Amino acid sequence: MSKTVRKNNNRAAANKTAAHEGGLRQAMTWAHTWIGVLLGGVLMVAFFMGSVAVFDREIDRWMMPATRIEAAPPGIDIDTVVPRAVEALAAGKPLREWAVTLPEARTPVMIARVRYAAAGGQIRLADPRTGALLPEVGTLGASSFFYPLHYNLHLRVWNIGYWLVGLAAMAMLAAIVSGVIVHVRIFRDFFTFRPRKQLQRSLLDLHNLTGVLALPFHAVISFSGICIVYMILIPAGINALYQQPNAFYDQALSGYSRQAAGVAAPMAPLGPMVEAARARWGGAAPAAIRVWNPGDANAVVKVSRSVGDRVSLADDAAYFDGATGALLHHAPLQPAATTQRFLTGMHFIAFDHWPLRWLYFLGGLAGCVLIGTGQLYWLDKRHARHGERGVRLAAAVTAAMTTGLVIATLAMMVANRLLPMTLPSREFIEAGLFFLVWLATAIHARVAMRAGSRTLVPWRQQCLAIAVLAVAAPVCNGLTTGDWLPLALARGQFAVAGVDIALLLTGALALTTARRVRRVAVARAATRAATAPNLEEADHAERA
Amino acid sequence: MPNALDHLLLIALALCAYGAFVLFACATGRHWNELSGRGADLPDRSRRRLRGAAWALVGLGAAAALPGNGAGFGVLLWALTMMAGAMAVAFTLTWRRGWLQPIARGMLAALRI
Repeated sequence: MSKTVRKNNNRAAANKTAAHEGGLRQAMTWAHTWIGVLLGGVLMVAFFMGSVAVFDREIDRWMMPATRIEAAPPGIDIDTVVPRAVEALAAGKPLREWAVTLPEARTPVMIARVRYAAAGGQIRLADPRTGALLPEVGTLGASSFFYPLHYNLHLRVWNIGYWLVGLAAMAMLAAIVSGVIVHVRIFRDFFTFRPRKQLQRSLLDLHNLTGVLALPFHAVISFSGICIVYMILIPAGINALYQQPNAFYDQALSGYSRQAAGVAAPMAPLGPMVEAARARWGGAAPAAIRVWNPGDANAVVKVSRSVGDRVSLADDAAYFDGATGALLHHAPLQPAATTQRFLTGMHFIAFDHWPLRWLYFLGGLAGCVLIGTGQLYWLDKRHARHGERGVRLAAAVTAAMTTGLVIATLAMMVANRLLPMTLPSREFIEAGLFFLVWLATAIHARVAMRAGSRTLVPWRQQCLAIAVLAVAAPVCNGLTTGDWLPLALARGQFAVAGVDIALLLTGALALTTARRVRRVAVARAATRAATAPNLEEADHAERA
Repeated sequence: MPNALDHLLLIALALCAYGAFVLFACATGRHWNELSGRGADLPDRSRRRLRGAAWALVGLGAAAALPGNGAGFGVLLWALTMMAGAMAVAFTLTWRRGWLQPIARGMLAALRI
């Protein structure tokens, strides 16, 4: 008896809080929905390209066959190979600045950059065993195409891309908080995924599952992403206090710079400077050497530490006098900068840690699933309410942002293997193809829906396109380079083999998805008359 | 990850993560019946014990992750492996529930629940 009374009391209290929560929940649903609808596309690009960029160096090796070279033996002679690469790139012209990134575990090549005293500059890859420049790679690769797409969408005018992605990252944080409030049953359904129930139920399950389980990762990755570009998003403080942005960086990141003297002086050897820097780092490996005003009496040499063994991106740089080799500046970071570098490093994963790299990849893909299922759920609900006509455009855009994005990526990789190396501006043709194919997927999705008059048609066709391209890419790789998957594995070319395996798995997954979509479409056609109920409302009613 | 001990610790961490979330799943109303195979509802005391044991495994995972990796990598590895463990349990529950039942029953027997 007393139990019933208590139960009734509880129910009354629950009703009271439910009424109160109802207002909050509705407000949060509104925010959560609009964040998803308006910024879901940007978030999808950021999460997908971010996940791809986790393996940017490996994809670079795949897309740049000339750089599939054996790792240099440890202890390369810096004073021989580095100047040789820089001189070859300078081709006799006076330089204002040069920088060489040394090879490391995931990158067997050196990256040489020069800026001419007159104007302009060049970047080329070089062989660390000899210092010889490698032939032009003819591609932007993952590190200069997929990766920038992750943080600025290649929209560099007025930093629009940074602003959009920054806005999306802040919206992601808001969506995480509102999502916890909106989806009332996330804790009760903590491990629940019902793929064989009706589509909306499966989508919502998967949305809640990835949202809750990867919530800490998504929150931290969004927040640390914002921390990386803080000086673009909140520039007021820096603009007010510093005349030149460089002065801010020098102070904030303990950098050093000075004017050229205008008097020529021969450069001191680099080796002893690198050794001196290593001694200060307790033996850690050097990552890069950068020289301002080479050949000037006031030349400055910056030697930065490899961050492969730490989370933080603090490169602990030591600055030397280029003419004498004497140490000019080496100071630890201030606490605020130390924090920023740690957060940045957590996002960048410049470190060498394979289990963590894979876990980041998993978390990033979970983000893609979270965003994609959210959009599909919204589309399907809207479809149920407003019919086919109400969702065609939104469905086409969503298809382009999910399957279309994957198709464009794969198409670029296939083009990378098929376009002749002699093609002028080959890298830009490749990039252009990416955007053209991406646009084509949006048009295809819209047209396919009109022809079949079914919102599921373009999804199935685009999944099949992914499957075809994902198999074509490793085949093209084998045909054009001879590094077929089994051979690459046998030779220990794990970067190339890994990309091939990931491509084949993508193809298998896309094929399975295409079949599943077909099954859903058939089931739908059978029960067309039945209208889908609103699951969120049903969940809430059940709880209340 | 240079030596065998590090690999063993990594495996231990993964097992802790998976085991912890099997127990968390047992402690939910929805999955208790299908994992334990018992008709009766889970008593509150057993639920507390299940959750306690699950949290203990989460803590044990930290003990496996931190020493070999240092604080920075260790905390990241621990948190992300927990995420992966939870996902793995969710997908085993979805597609291979039959595999999970003996594991769950073994763990329940060990906890005397």
